[in-house]
Amino acid sequence: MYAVLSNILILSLKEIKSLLSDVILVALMVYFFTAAVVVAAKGASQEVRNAPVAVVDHDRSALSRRLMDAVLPPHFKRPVAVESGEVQRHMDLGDFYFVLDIPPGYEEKILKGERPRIQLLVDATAMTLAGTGTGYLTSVLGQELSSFTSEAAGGTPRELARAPRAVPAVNVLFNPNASAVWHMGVVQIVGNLTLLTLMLSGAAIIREKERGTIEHLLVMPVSAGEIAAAKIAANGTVIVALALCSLYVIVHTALGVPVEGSFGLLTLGMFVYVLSFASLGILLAVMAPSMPQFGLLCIPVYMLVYLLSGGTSPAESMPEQMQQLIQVSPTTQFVAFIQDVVHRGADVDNVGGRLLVMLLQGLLFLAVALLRFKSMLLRQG
Amino acid sequence: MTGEAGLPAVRLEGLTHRYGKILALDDVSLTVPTGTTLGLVGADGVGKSTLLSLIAGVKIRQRGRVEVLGEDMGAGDARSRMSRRVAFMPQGLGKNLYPTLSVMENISFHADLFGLRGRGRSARIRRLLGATSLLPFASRAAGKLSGGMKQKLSLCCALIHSPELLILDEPTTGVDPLSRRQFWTLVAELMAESPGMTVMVSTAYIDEAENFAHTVMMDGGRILASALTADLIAGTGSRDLEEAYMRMLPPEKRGREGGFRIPPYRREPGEEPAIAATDLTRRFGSFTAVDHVSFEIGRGEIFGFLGSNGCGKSTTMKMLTGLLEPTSGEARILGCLADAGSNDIKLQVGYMSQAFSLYEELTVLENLLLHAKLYRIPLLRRKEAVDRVLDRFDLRRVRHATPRSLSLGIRQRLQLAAACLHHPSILILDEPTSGVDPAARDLFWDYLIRLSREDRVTIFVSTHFMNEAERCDRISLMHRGRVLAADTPEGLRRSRNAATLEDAFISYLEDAQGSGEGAAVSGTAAGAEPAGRSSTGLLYSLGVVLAFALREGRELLRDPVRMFFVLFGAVVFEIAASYGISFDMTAMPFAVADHDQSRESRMLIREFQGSAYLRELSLEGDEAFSNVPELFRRHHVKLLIDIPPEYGRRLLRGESPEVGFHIDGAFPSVANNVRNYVDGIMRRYNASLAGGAGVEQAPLEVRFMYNEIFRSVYVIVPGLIMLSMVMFPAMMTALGVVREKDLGTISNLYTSPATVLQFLVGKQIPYIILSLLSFLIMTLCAVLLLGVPVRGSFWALLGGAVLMVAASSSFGLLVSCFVRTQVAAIFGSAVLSILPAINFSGFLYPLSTLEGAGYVMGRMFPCSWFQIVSLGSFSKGLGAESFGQVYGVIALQAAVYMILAALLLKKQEK
Repeated sequence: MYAVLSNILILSLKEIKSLLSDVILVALMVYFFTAAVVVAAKGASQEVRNAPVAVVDHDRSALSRRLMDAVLPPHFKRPVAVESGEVQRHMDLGDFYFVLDIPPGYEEKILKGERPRIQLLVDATAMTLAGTGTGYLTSVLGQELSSFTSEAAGGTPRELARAPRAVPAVNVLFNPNASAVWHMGVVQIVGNLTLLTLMLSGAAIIREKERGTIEHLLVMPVSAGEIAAAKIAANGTVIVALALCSLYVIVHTALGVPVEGSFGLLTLGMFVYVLSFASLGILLAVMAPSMPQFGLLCIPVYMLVYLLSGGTSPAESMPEQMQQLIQVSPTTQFVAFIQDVVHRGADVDNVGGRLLVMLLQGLLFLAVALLRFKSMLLRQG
Repeated sequence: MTGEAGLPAVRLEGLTHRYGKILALDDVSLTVPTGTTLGLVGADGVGKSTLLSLIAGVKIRQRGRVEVLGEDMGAGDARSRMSRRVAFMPQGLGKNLYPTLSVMENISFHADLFGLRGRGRSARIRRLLGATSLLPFASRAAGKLSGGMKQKLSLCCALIHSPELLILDEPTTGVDPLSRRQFWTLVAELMAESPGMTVMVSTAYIDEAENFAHTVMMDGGRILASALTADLIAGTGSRDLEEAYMRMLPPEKRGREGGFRIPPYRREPGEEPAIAATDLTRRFGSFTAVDHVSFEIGRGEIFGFLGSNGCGKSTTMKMLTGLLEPTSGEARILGCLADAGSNDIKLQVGYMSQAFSLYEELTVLENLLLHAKLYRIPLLRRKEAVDRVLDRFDLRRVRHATPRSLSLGIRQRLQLAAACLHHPSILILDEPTSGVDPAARDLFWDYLIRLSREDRVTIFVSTHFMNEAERCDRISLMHRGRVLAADTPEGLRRSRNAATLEDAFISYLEDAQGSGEGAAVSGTAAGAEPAGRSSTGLLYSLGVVLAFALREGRELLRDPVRMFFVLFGAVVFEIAASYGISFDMTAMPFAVADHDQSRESRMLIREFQGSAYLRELSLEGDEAFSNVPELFRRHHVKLLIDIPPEYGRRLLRGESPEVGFHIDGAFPSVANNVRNYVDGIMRRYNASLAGGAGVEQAPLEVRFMYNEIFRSVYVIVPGLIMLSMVMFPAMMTALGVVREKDLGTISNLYTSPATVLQFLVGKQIPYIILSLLSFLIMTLCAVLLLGVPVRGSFWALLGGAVLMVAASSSFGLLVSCFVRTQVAAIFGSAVLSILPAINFSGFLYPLSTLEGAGYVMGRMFPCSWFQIVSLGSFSKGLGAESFGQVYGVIALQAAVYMILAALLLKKQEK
């Protein structure tokens, strides 16, 4: 047992030294966990922000101008007036996602008490934007319209003010301003952790295989399991250290995202996840034993587990069977884990089950990989 | 072959070259007359390879002047002219060959690079292959050739363009004696055919150098002697060049003068053999690498393994070390089965593989320390053990250097040092002295003999050097997986009545081979006919691009796994992701705590239960809502509705009571949607409370464009195709350059007249074709399987895809030219393209909502532009006329990546 641990330690130190000797690789890793996290957190937004709106104003009345003025940042950009002939072209190129078409004589009809309608064209290819943005526009313009009509009638509509009503007291927990930065910052770290772990652990095996060094190790009193364990331990430690720095220094301190859960639990969770995913990386390396093959296998695997993890699009929107199926991916478990811990302040009792699942997944991957380890060595060149 | 009379072939002046702190060449000046042959000899790491690569122009010159055939090699245009007149064969077995390509394909590729065409071309190829007796093997993959055949093929490739100066760097290292003999016969015959040709050769075999007209001896980066070989031997009063060489060297570098005296080996009776093989057999598919091999090696015996390259020596050794399991038969080490792999046995064995297998990125010292630790040498003795081998193998000088920067011979010595470090009782050494200089070899054998006789260490060694074989107690001759003969060296020689062991060995081999290999050169007429050559110009350029493309394409075709991953992986990704990624409004789970239990509160709850966007969950045991945050942690609800006591009564009293809505904000877009649902439902509820009065009329008539039924899949699938067209091509080309640098085949670019741009564009073409195939399959799958039609123009979409794939594969090449390792290449290409592709392309989040650096990143990469084309053609029903500007931007980006890559990739090595 002592010999095993000592071998793993020796090989891990060697591994870290090799990893750090590649200056460009280290620079890429640092970029990935610093600048890339900031850009991703601040750049993309799932809220309706700065949505471009165009107006075709056939009415050119005080009311139509007033309605246009009601469309305000930060949700929307200031509306741009366009000619009706231009609308199609602008929408085709995605210049505007919302186009309001105010019919001629609109104000006149409103004042007469008719109920004319404004047509709203929505670019439904902007999925995250279209639904919510339409809701916002409906309520903003509705309010503006009702205050216009009541002012025109010389006061507030009395019936409505007198009627008893339930007042909603909305309380958004964990991320009160629904800030995308909070969410994206953490999700980006998960994505980075995933890609880095997958590629480094797998590529480390393939590099040793292609250079013949792994054969050399196996002739020494070292077992395949020890080699794999050392790869996981070494790469895992470096990656977890980077991810923790990124979480606390970049996301927490620089971007101001509160971290509710405990440092210890986060560290533990990251280690378990990295163990699990590095094992998958090694398994893929065993299945695709040359560097070009491995790189190509990594791409769909990474994109699938990441895009379906419930981090980039809501897990609840997936079809039921898919939600069940994707639980086999450690990334799905980890996204839920880190959101629970960072945002919701969960403790071990809340997330212990997920940790256990990730651990078992990792051990399964590793066991399969080691079973096929020797046959991989035979398949060379 | 027009060497101008009097003009030297090579003239060097004050040439100095350093690798970091190590001085490789120290003010070297040399003149080589045209039409001569020159042998370059010297110990390992004295600068032979550096000198030859500088002359060939493949290495960037640091200081001094190199003139080749009258032109200064410092100038780029001179180098490119010279590449047509000079040929260089780099060190290492078949280093410039592509292992998956056949013999004919390899040589055709070189012919294409030099623009050879017409009848002369095929005649020249046949002539060269015929002369090297490779013609019968024309369709065999280069990787499956024996070492000797590889070197002959390498030579053919180097000679394809009838060079005036031929530079060979240790061409026969690691080649068996028979192949070596054939190789030199071939070179001599080819030289006889083209009298003006100058040949420069570096070699570790001094006896080979004796056949060259000139000899240059190097030591410590300087030239010790440069003279006619005959003068050199006479001048030092030596019998042969080997003796002259030894005399020229400083005494400490001379090795073992006067030969070895080896005490006879005596086997203890009844002692168990150290190594025993019984009917050892190993098959790879239908190929039998080792065929019923049996032998016993006693403790302390030196047992030699001789045989042509690829005869099964290395496979046998791997089975002895437990790396390979035998197909049948058994191998025992110290009485235990070798493949059982117990650590006790492993500690007793030291192994050195044929190819370098230590860590390139660790220093010499670090590598040795790693071995010391893994072989469990106690801490206190570790330093002493490492110090001892540093001295014994003369590595102290380079202990802080990485093996990457060391010459072949010194790397071999390092491997030997690592194998011997832990005092094993058995040493298994696979060609340990290939590429090692004679003096170092002698020192090493001196050490081996002492180990064997004094410490009774068993030594199992394979070699191509006959003088080493003679020092073994017994040798075994292997050929095509079988043992031809096994006896003492003297016994073998006598059984063939041969003068030397080498003659005996060759006669055994020739018997075994019959007349297959080693046929004489036949017919010289074809050789004289010059091959047609389209000089410069467009046709030649296109030809070279095509040559690179064909070569890369063939390599890709031979690797069906990669094609499968690209074609199949992309489709699996498309189907799974389109099924899973969704922004469709689905019912979000909510729970209610009704502290009122009145008719009014139940009415309110019914409003929420009736919403299509919400579904109720019951929280067993947690209905009281005592700790709201904990509820969200424990249950997967997004909304908690808290109706206070007295709610109904207050409402009836005409008051406006509050209702609490707690929303889980951890996923902001979900929280926003839930909030919108709450607002809408409450507005409706309040309106109905007011009896329908003042109900807000929605002032808008909403029309969803392009995706009328508002389903994610119409938007997601075009995005997934965009993602694949960004990621896969970049990943494929990212290894393109850095892998060729690792394998050594990049030297073909350095030595050929092809430009960097031709090389890059050619490499890119097969991947563009494969990616477009993948694009077509993905589109087909979208239309037929996922029900996402191309509403606009398919051709407009295809046009965008062509540009996109060109851009992303150029980006991959740019990464490849920038990084130094393959790991960094695959990681870099993924890391740098994933953010713009997923976050800032307009795929998940609309482009116009991006801000700051994200927006810039989105616009600077082609992903967001192609997303416009993909989404436009699929969902918006657009045609090419809408994309003119977009096409232009993507094409520009592709061009910028390619130009940057071409600027980064140098046509010489450092």
